[in-house]
Amino acid sequence: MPILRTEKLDKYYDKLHVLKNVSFSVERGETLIILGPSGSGKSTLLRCLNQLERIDGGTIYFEEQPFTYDRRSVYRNRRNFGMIFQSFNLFPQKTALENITLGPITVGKVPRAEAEREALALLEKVKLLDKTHAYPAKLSGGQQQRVAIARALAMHPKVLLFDEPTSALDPETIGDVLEVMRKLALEKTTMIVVTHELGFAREIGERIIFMDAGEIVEEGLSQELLARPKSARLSAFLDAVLHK
Amino acid sequence: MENQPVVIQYIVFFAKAAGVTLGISALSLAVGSVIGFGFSLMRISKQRILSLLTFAYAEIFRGTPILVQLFLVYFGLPIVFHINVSAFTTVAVSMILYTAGYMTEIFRAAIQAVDRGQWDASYTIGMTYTQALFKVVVPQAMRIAVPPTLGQFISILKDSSLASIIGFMELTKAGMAVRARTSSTLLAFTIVTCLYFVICYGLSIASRRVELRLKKA
Repeated sequence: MPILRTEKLDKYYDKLHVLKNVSFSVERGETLIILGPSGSGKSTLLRCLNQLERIDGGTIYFEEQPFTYDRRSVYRNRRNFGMIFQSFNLFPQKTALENITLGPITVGKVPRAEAEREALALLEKVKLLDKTHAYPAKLSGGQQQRVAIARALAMHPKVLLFDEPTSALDPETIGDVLEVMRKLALEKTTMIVVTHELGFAREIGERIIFMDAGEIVEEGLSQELLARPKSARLSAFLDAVLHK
Repeated sequence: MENQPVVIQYIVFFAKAAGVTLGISALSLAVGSVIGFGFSLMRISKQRILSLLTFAYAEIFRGTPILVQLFLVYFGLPIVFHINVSAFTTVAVSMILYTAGYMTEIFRAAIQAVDRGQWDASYTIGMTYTQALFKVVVPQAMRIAVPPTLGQFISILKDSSLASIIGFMELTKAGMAVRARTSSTLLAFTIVTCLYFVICYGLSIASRRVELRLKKA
């Protein structure tokens, strides 16, 4: 049984058709990679999965339960997902520790001491224990992104959504973030990763979905799909990324 | 006071009047900010009626001269409600309502200036609209709102001179009184001008300091 499955999703921004008939599924414990040029609808797709955006057609099933859009079920459903953004979106007025504990304390009603204990364990996991009391402005991009991952993990989501997690990073800090993601993949965390990191996709991703202009163009096992693209659009995209 | 030399008497008189100007302006800013903050939340809410009403409020109070608003309260209240209001009440009510209009817009702009990503991040850790608003967005918006709020303070402090027209004894009215008593017009209003400038320039320097501090943090 897939943990998450979409059926013929359609999404419009005004007249612009950003998702066209998108159907795919994710198995529990799988790392699914979504590739595609910018503007292909990848981010929008992720945002529809945790209901930051509303779909205009089709159905999304989480553990075979279809999404509903009343306020309570939206809030409840969002807790199944953690999200990591391209621009980190840490809370600037809070320390690394406070960024991580805010969700558990205000949403999860976890006692502060317990939330902090767990946050410290997460900071250790992302190798930032020494930055516990640092504010985001004092952290490098890669460090901020790792705090963001810890913040998402603190809510114990069932699926992690990564929206181009390394695109805004300096090359030298990308490695640390990918290492954390690799560790999560090995722990069988269910992850959907929008990325341009082909090396990571090949090594960690089990399956790849290639999107262009709002639709799924190609789908397959990652090593196969990267080695032998079937469509001209995917070959062109891979060429463009490799020769950037 | 009669035993003191005349000069001292006037100094005390002006100092008191400057205090009244500062006090009534601070009062308007404080109460106007509380009202304005509440209104700004309604202004950005998805409830169309609340949003429209607060929009109209801000536009009307910002789109008409405060002097006319003063007259409306001063002459209007006795006619409509058959109550006589003191000059102080008139001035306080008018200045508070006027400042609330501006503060509604200042807070609205500040809240909307907070990066969209902060809402996204709050929602993805499971927060409701209210939690995201008060735990994440408003604290950041408050910092954004500090410089324009101090600007509003300076502006309302100068506008408060209009209260002299309905006889409220603040700094400008004090100048008029001294002028009438001593017939040294130039001196009286030079002193008044200097006092306004010292207060406003002081606030302006303070505001620039705060702005720098906020930028650094």
